[in-house]
Parts: sequence; C-alpha cells; structure tokens
Amino acid sequence: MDHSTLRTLPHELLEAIVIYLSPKDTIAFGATCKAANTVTYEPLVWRRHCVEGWKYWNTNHELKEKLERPPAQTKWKQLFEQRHRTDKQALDVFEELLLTQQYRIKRLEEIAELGYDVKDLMLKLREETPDDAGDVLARRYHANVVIGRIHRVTALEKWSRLARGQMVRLEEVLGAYDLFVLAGNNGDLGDIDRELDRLASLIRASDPDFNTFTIRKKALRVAEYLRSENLVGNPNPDNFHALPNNFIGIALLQPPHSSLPLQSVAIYCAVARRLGINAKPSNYPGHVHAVIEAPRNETLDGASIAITSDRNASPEPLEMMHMDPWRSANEVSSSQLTLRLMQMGAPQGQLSFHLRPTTYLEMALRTGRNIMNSVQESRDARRGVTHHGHPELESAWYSMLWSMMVLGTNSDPNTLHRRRQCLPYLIEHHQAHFPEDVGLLENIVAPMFTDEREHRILMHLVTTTRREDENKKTARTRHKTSAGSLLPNDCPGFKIGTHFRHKRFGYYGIIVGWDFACAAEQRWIQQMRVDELPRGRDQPFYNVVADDKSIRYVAEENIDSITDDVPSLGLMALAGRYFKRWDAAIGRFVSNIKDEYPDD
Amino acid sequence: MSTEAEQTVKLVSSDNVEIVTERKIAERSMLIKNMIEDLGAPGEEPIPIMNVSEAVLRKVLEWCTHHKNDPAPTQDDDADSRKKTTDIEDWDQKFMQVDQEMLFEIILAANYMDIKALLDVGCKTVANMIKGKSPEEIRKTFNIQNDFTPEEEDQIRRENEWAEDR
Repeated sequence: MDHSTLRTLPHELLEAIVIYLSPKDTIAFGATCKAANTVTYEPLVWRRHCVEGWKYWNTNHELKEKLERPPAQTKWKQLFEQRHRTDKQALDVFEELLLTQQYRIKRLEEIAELGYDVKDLMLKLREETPDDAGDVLARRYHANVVIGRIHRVTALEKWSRLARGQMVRLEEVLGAYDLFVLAGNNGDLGDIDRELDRLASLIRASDPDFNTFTIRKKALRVAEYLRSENLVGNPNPDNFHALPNNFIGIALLQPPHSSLPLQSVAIYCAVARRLGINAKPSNYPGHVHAVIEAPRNETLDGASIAITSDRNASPEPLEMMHMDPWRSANEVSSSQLTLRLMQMGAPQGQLSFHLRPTTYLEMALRTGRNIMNSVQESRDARRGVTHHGHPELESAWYSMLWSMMVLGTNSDPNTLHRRRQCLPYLIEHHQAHFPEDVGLLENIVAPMFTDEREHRILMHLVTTTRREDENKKTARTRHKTSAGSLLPNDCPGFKIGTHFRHKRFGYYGIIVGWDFACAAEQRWIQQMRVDELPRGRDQPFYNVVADDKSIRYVAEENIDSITDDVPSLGLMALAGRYFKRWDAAIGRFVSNIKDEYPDD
Repeated sequence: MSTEAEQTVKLVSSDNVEIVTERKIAERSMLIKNMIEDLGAPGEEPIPIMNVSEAVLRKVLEWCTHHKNDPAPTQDDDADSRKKTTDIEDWDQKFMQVDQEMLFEIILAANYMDIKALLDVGCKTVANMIKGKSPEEIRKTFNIQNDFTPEEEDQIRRENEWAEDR
C-alpha cells in the first residue's frame, strides 16, 4: 500500500469512506490489505449494515437492547451474516414453491416459521417485483401469503398470552386484530408502539411543566391533545360501525383516524400510561370510558393520603376519575355516570362494578363482537356489490373467528361453548381463503378440544390437507386416456386462466379448473337444477374464482369469456394463487398449475 | 464598516501564498470561521492554513464559492438512523473529476478545515470508485499493495464465503 494515494488517509477518514459502502463492497474493500481490513471490522460498520438492511427483527435478537449497548459488545458482523443466510434460505424455498403446487403449504410454512426475520424479504418480493416479471402475480401473491401468516402467528401469540393471564398490553391485544388485515407496510405492532411513543413525547414536550402536573391535569391534557389532533372520536356519526373503526392501528395511523369508543379509549389509555397515568378501559354498559386511578397513597390532585396503620381495616378504594375521549376532552363526573346507570336499571350492588376498570380480555372479546357486527353490516349493505376496500372483509371476519377461538379458557363453560360454535366457520374460512394455516389449526385449535369429538375431526382434516399437499397433483389431460384421441364434444372449450363474465349472474371470474362433465354431487345437481340447463349436466363444468373471492362451479354455457379487457385489480390479486401473470397478447392468465392441467 | 457579505479575509497556504477571498466563502470552513471569531478583526490579520498547499486551497475555495449560499448543516445529522446515499449532485461530480492525488488532498483539506459537506462529497466519490469491484480491481484502482500472507488471505476468503453470490 506504500505507493497508494489512499494510504495518505488516516484511519478515521477511511472509516468515513466505508460509511458509504454496501455490505458487499465493504467485504471486497476489507480484502484488499491489512489497513482496509481493520477499518471494515469496526463494529459500527456492521451495526449500520444490520440496521439499514432490515427493519423487522425476531424478538429473540433483542435488537433494541443491542442498539442501546456499546457497539463493540455485539458481534454485528456475525449477526449480519446470520440474517443474510436466513434471507438466502428463505428465498431458495420461495423459488421452489413457485414452481409446483406439491409441498406448497409445507414450503410456505417453512418460510413463515422464520418469522419477522423474513418479513423484509417478503415485503421486497411483494412490493418490488417488477410488473413485467414472468411470474409477477405468483410472486406477489405468495409473498403476501407468508407475510399474512407471520402476522397471524404474532396475533395469536398475543391473544394466547392474554388467555393464559400473562402480561400483554392493551394496544397489543387490539393491534392483533390489525395484524389480520394489514395491507400496506404500516400498522404492525411495532408501528403502533412507535406512534404511541411519539404522541406521548409530543404531549410531554407540549408543556415544560408537564412533569409537575397532577394526575388529573395530565389526564385532561392527554385527552385535549388527542382530540385536537383528531386522533380519537369519530367526526362522522353515520359510519359509527364502519369496519375500519374497529382497528386501533388504522385509527391511529390512517386518516381520518375515526374509531369506535373502545378504540379511542384504548389509544387514550396507551398514551396516558406512557405518561405515568394509570388509565384503563371501563366496564360501563353500552359505552367505553377511560378510568384513571390514583396511586395508593395519593389523590388525583396530588395530595398525600395517610396510610392507615390498622392492618385489619380494608384498604380505602383508590380515587378514580372518568374520561370519555371519544366524545370530549372533559372529565365525566362519576355522579352523572352513576345516575345514568340507575336510569338504565342497574342494581345498586353493580354500580361500582360498572365504574371500575375492566379486563383486557373483555375488551378483546368486545372488539371481536364489534367486528362481527361491522362485517355483517358491511356485507348486507354491499350485497351483490364487490367489496375491495380496506380492511378486507374476509380477513376481518377471520380475525374475529380466531379471537373467539383463542380468547378464554376451557375452565369457563362459556368459552368451550363459544369455541364449538365458532369451529365450523373457522374451518370453512381456513379452507376457502387461508389453507396455509393448517398448522395453526393443528397446534393451536386441536389442543383446545382434547378428549372431545372435535379433536378427531380436526386431526382428520389436518391429515387430509397435509396428504393433499404432499402428493403430486394428478395431471388432468385433455385427451381421454383410454381412447387416446381427443373427442371434440367432451373437450372443455375454455382454458385454465380464462377471464370471464357469468352470463346470468354478471360477476367476473377466472377459470382455475375444469371437468369434462358436471362432477358435483347429485344433491347439488338437483339443487342447482343443472338438468334444466339447455346443455344439461353433460357439458364441461369449470372451477372458477369469482371477484368476491368465492370459489364456484360453473357450466360452460354460462361462461362469457373476455379477452380484450384487463381483469380488475381484485382478480389480479387473487390470480397469483394459480397464475404467473396476465398475458395481454392472448387475453388470458398464464397458468402456474401446469402440474394439474398440463395441456392448458 | 462594510457589511459582512462584502468583507474579505486573507488566507495563507502552507507554501506561503496569500489568497484573498470573501469572508462568507471562507466561513464554509468551520476552522476559519472559528479563527475569525477568535481574532475579532477579519481582513487585517492573515489566517494561516498550515496543512494545505496553494493548489489545493484554491480548489477548496472554488468549491466553497459554488456552495457559499447552501444552508448551514444541521447538528443532528445522525449517521445511524438514515440510510447513506452515495448520490452526488452534478456540479460536485464534475468538481471531483481530478487525479487521485488531488482527490485525497481535497479530502484531507476538507477534514482539516472542517468542511463537512465537502468531506462527504470526497468520501462518496471514493466509495463510488470502490462500488461493485472485486478486491483485486480495487487494489488496481488505488494502487494498493496486497500485504496479506497467503494464510491470511485464505482466512478472509473463508470468513466471507457467505456473502458470495451463488
């Protein structure tokens, strides 16, 4: 290096250059000579590559703690290497799963097991796969499937902790519902936490004397701030039950920030607790308030209370105040709340119960029930109209089903009853929309029914699904195997990937399978009056995905194929499960299920 | 008393050449800015720039002239949280089209004279020269002598196998 001009630079300036190198260039530079090698081994170099390389980290890395420690205490280069290997491993499996339907669920599970360590990679595949990539739809679709599965596992962990009585925060319990419907990049539990932290520090900074405020004054200040920023409440009373209002992350992060009282109170409590205020949601019937409790030896206005020395005397109840951040920034007087309770006919003995804080479990179940109502309302309102809004209805419904399943314990007879009621719907939804969740049914749901009839049914379902996944798909050739030659009348006229409009019902869909003749059960044939169709039951029938996400079975005579119009965005998103891309030149999707339909 | 914008200062290079320039231009250098504030009477006392030769000093002042109206850098330019970009604006790119010796002289001068923005441009320029190259290509570019023993080289290769494209 003696003649090198680079040699004229001192160590710290070489460091300043290395700051601008990518991981790969850092390694190449470090391999040139000893001086360069020393510079590239500085812990800060690889700490930076780690932080810039990945936004999401599995909790077992304890990234936050590592970032707070002196950089030399962490083997950052090894950590980078580990994450790099995980990405490579996940990408390999991902490429394989795109190629064949066989083992697809197993491979999706294998990637999703890697958890948040692969979320960045999956987001990249989903967001950055170019439009002209040969398998763009399949790539985006399956990356999204993995992300969804990682989110759901996290949500179910939070709810399971709650059900077991372990520590979990209100914003996590409610944010778990968001994890089921997350569509964009923002709104994960970490994003919710960061936003709540940000709001808390803004409120603290809004008044230099904030720390000297009494608890009552702080509680009022928090409500005042959140109201002035329109982060709580709902300015539009007409859409009280609108689906987005049920999700704390959406309320917090997405304009217009409207929410149900429960979510408003949860946001209020989460911010207040970060500022040292013991705020919790209340037990009040029909509406949720925030209850703020004073510390044991203090009033809300900061006066100290002498602690009684008589050990036998029952402790004085804590002083409480109520807030209704959904409606106003003012305190709600307890006498007013009590009066209203009596008007509602609440018995005297129940009054204090309704004014006290309630459990997070109760809030979570209440949210589940609210989501059920909102989805149903939304379905009724949009009957016949395809819904492509956010949050997506089926995912929201699925979040409700899972919460009803996971929350609670079997020692409570109501829970077992609720789980029984819920199970068929959960199975149906899993099979129709989330087949990749079979492992969750096996590991989370089946143990809930140990020694019950449902356990056997579930395990049978799991085994069947797994066997189907492991088996190679039977090839459905267009030639009849026995005759060898193709008969014109039993050859389906449309190919896999055809975009069509249903002649009678008008919905749009894509062909994803066919039979030479109607292969449905006798009962279905009768129910659907197949024999009354002009071409009857002996015409080809098609499995189709409709734009409302349902899977249907359609007679050939009802298929009106469309080749000149690009399918809707909704269909494009669904198509990735079966197809590589839309081919505008032939007006058809390019099949990714050649293993099943080799001739199409 | 003339306004600050019109004031001039006298700089002296390491090879004893006097250069007169606008105070505003010279004050892109925090070193000079602090010295002027300490001296209290700009324009009269020549300011020695001990480690920088005339040729380099003129080049640095050329950069300062072009950037004299840039906003002052903010204090919390956190190296940690923001992703580093190696983008360089067009004028700076042209400015940096000099031989390697001059390039490193500019970097050293920017560091000594405490002109952060110029130092950044210099470092980015070098980083861009490294970008995408193999170790051997980098050695060639900067005339670096490989001072590893074969054993050390072997060890480095093994340590970094994971990063290689398959």
